Amino acid sequence: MPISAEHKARKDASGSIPRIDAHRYVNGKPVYTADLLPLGCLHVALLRSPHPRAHIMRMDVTRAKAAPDVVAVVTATDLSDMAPIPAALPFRGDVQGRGAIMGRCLAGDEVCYIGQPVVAVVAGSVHAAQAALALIYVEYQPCPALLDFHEAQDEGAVAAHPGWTTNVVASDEIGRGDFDEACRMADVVVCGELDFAPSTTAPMEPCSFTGAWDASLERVSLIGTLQNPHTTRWMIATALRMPEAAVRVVAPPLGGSFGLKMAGHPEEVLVCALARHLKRPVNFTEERWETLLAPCRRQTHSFQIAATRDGRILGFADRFVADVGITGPGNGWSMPLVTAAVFPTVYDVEHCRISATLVATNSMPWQPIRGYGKEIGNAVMERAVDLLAARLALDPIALRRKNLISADAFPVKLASGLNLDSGDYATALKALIELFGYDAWRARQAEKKHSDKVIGIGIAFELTPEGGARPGAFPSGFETATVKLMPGGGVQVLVGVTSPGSGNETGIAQLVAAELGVDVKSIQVVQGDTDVTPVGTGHASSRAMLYGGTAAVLAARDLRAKILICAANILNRPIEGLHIEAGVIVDAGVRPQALTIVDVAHQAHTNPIIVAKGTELPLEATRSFQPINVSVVPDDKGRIATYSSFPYSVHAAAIELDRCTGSVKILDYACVHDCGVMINPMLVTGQLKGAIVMGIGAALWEELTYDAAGRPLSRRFKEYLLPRAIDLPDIRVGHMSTPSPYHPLGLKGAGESGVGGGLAVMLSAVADALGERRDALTRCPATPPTLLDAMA
Amino acid sequence: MKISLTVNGAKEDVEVDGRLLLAEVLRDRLGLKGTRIGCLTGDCGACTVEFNGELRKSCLMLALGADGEDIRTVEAAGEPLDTLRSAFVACHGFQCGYCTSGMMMVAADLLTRNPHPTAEDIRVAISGNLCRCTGYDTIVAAILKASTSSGDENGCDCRT
Amino acid sequence: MIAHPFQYAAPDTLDAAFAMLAGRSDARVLGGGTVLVALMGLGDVQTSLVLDTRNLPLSGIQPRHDGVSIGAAASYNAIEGSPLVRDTAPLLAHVCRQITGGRQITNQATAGGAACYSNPASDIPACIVALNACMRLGSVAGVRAVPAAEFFTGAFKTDRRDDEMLLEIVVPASNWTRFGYIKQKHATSSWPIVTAACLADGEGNIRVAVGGAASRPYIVEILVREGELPSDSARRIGERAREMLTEPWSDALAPAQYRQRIVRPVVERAVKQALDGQPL
Repeated sequence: MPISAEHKARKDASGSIPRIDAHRYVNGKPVYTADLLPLGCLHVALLRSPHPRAHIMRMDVTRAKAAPDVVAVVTATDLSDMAPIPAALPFRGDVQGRGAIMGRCLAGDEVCYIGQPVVAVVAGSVHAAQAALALIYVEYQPCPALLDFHEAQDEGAVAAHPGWTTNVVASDEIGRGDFDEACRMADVVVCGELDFAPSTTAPMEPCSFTGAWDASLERVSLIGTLQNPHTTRWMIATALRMPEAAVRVVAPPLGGSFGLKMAGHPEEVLVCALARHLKRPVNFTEERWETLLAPCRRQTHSFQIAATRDGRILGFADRFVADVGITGPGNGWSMPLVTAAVFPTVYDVEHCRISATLVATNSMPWQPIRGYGKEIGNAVMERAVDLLAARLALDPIALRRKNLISADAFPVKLASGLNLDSGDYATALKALIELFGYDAWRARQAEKKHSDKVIGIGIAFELTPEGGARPGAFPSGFETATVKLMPGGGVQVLVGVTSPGSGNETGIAQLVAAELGVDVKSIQVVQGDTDVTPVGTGHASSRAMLYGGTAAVLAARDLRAKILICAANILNRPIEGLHIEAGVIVDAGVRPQALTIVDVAHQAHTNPIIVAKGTELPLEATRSFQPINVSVVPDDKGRIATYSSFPYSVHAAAIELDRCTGSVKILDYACVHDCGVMINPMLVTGQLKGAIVMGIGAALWEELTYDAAGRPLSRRFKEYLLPRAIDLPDIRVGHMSTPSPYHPLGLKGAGESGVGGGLAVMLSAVADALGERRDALTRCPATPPTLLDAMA
Repeated sequence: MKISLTVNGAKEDVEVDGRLLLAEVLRDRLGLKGTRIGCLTGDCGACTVEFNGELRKSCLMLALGADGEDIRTVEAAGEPLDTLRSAFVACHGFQCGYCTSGMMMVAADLLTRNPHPTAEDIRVAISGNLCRCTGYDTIVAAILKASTSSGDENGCDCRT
Repeated sequence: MIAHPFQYAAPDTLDAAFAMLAGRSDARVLGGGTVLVALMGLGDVQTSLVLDTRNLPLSGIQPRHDGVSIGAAASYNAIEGSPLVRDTAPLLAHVCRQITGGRQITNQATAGGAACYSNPASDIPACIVALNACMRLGSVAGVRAVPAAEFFTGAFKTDRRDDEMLLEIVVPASNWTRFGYIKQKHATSSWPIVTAACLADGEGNIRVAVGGAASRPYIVEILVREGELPSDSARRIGERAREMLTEPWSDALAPAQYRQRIVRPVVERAVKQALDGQPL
């Protein structure tokens, strides 16, 4: 696919160049895991528990085993020689009564959530496997289940987890100053509640995993929809009791992940176990209703904000409980802990008190989602600020402006100890007001004040800590890249990060191209193969450029030094005068050389004793990058700070609320965003807009619903409502850049910014439209029935 | 059971299980993976193909019901698909790419019927297709660009 | 995927089709497939025989001396594009034009199929009840005509017997000169929550069919003496619609109470659209 010819190497890596791998997508090439099934692959269908809690008294799979094209029917008994799957993120802290996570692929003698896999049918076709499910007989004896998380801490509550005596999964108390004192000093203390219904990531590509067994090498391999291949490799090796070196994990390009595809889906391990047992490749691909089973964000917040009459915020408090379901091997359960860590976001508030309790219920394990809890924290903070503005009869922008952390105050700590690197919130707000046309929108709102369809205007900041590096997570806190000059002269970059489809391979190639002085088209970036790429996290917390790209820069610099040593040897010239430009060795002040790096590569490998003198072959370098703006040694308050960079954004939106039906139409949306230095602004803007739309969906329409018995009702995209093109206006974006002083390239990371802002600004706009009834908005999503209730 | 289809101009005879959807035949029997499966309920549009010259969601069609018919998929060469490919690349009209085949098929049909659509026309046309990555702006820009250019790959105002 | 094996037939005569349906209750007639194939994939429907209408003469749109006949297998696009339908029943053309799901769906899905599915959360039932359409059903026992208002008997229930198939929807000629249509839903992805299809004749007669609010469509009518039209008729019809809603429908997207609350404004807006010709 022809791409623009303007790809000269530049000193400055930045530029909105198109994706270097674009041709695969626009030509419909086989790209994704489900496109790559090997010949003779078998297919899995899972029989899932219909009960939230039950003993399994008896199972009879004989009829299923005899069904057409069925190869095996597997139960927990058949997998009993496996070890439990380890946790991607171990529990912290001292919580009495907590036991083991649910680390099994198939339920043994009890089930503890609706949807829990109980039996795996393996057949020659997915149709045959699914048809055989109906022939399996399972006798369940239902027992008392915990479905309502508000009851989870009651005396005598059922323990949701088998073997636990508590329902508390984790908790955290974060404080600074004295919130009670702040309330005494304040003129007003405004209270509010926000109740979040569960939502889900819903990438367009469902999860898919293919396990295979190599009998001659005695190795197992997994190809799958995976964000964290090395973590998955470790989980498989542990569960199958194999050395890590005997496991290979490959992550093809993903059809979106947004956190859902982080390591810890038991099926990652299951297909490997089945492949090893059956000696044939085995694939499990979720159907959409199964992908929609993955919940998160089910939590209730009660917050308070204390301020002086003229709008100086003195204190903020939030107490919340989150229902994280059953804890499986994945790390999704920990997101509410991150929610707690973002307060008081962009505001200068001295006295804070945050209390977070994460409880278990008999429901599906949480899967991680974009925002990772930060979006909820931002939404609560902005809601509190809006309610305060209304109480004080202050303009919401003026109130915010009065309390923003000032640009010269950085670095500044959040109540949790996270160290904000840099930012200019006031300038961003000013730029946004102009970009959005705030005054004109207020005027339009006034004109329509008495109509059936009123306008609401929302404003919201989002602070998006990125680069998460949590102790105990496997792996944690560093990323590695190898940059190679191949013998034939091309450049290959191997990185430990992976891509959700954001285009990080292009961004990384741009960085390496600039460092080496070569055309970006000569670079191949390889990700997601544990036999090939260095140990890394994969993707999460916007680390691909922030950490992975930086590691690639460091490695590229080392490689350039090696290349120049070789070039100096070839040319018999001093190295100080040499540099590389457009793939050619340039000797300052001397007539142009004909020596290209392709020549250097060839000669170094064929004549190493002379050419590589003073350096070591091969022509490659491996470097890691670790953030410095983190602290894993507890401070005097016992806190650690594990996010290193702090992009932020400010959002404005205008909506129209139909007072008769409660429905919301989005009229306009603008955002000003700061992620420090941007390597490829086009890719950054793309991520931002997509994230904003996810936030919008979560605020207005996206809700996983269940019947009274806890059975999921959201089985397709007619029940789980994603925003479509005609639901949205054009989104106007402005960028500014306050580089991070803690990062060698000034990057702050992009990828999650927008979810919190979109969520918060929609709630803000809807509440504004409710006018006098704004206090009645206590539920998210703000669906039409919810809004009609608020107006009643 | 045997069916005969014409796919991207080529005649194909395929042995099928009656339960197969057209999307499965295209992908698994004919190796045309560009038609993606995102929902199996006709809501996401990733499986969009052209069926006797009309857009269809191939996950909602039984393979047996396509016997004797003419199918075109995203892999088909020709216009306006080829111009759309350049435009989607130039305008960053995709991120993960999973919805892209479907979006481009819809766009090709739109541009054939309406060579100069407005942005609103485009949004309506793609309203049956879901994207979770882009927020749709760059998809609209790419289709607009394809409608105004003839293979010009340089630059797209929408990008930043 | 579709898990359970089934027989598939695509007969090319109606008699052959009737014969296949005779004496059995477990066959499914395949119109466009947008409903049936999705349900089979979800496992909600298992059938022993799928009878495909693709080779049957059921897609035509023909004039009738008393109106227009729309074949059961005519697609939304074909209906919307038919000059006959635009002339005789512009309400139906309009409804077909704004069916959700993109052109992919409107090319494939059929009004006849939607009628037989009788999903409260859909456009077609209330629309054809408003038009006082006649449903013509065929079987080995012959052809039977059922007025649309009697055809929809409940949520996902019609008067069609198991061995019958819908042949055509006949929309009668009428004196209606104006129409209004409101489809209230949460967002584009949502199914219709409440619909109101309104016809007016410019002389004070107004007929509204309400869909989605109850388990089947219901009618609210005002028939007045020529020239007398109360100025608040839209509101009065809306209120009447609410009074008549004694058993509101409830589903995953909206509870009964919500439908109860919005039926009045939705109906009122549809009536205003019809009377004023102004979109709301």
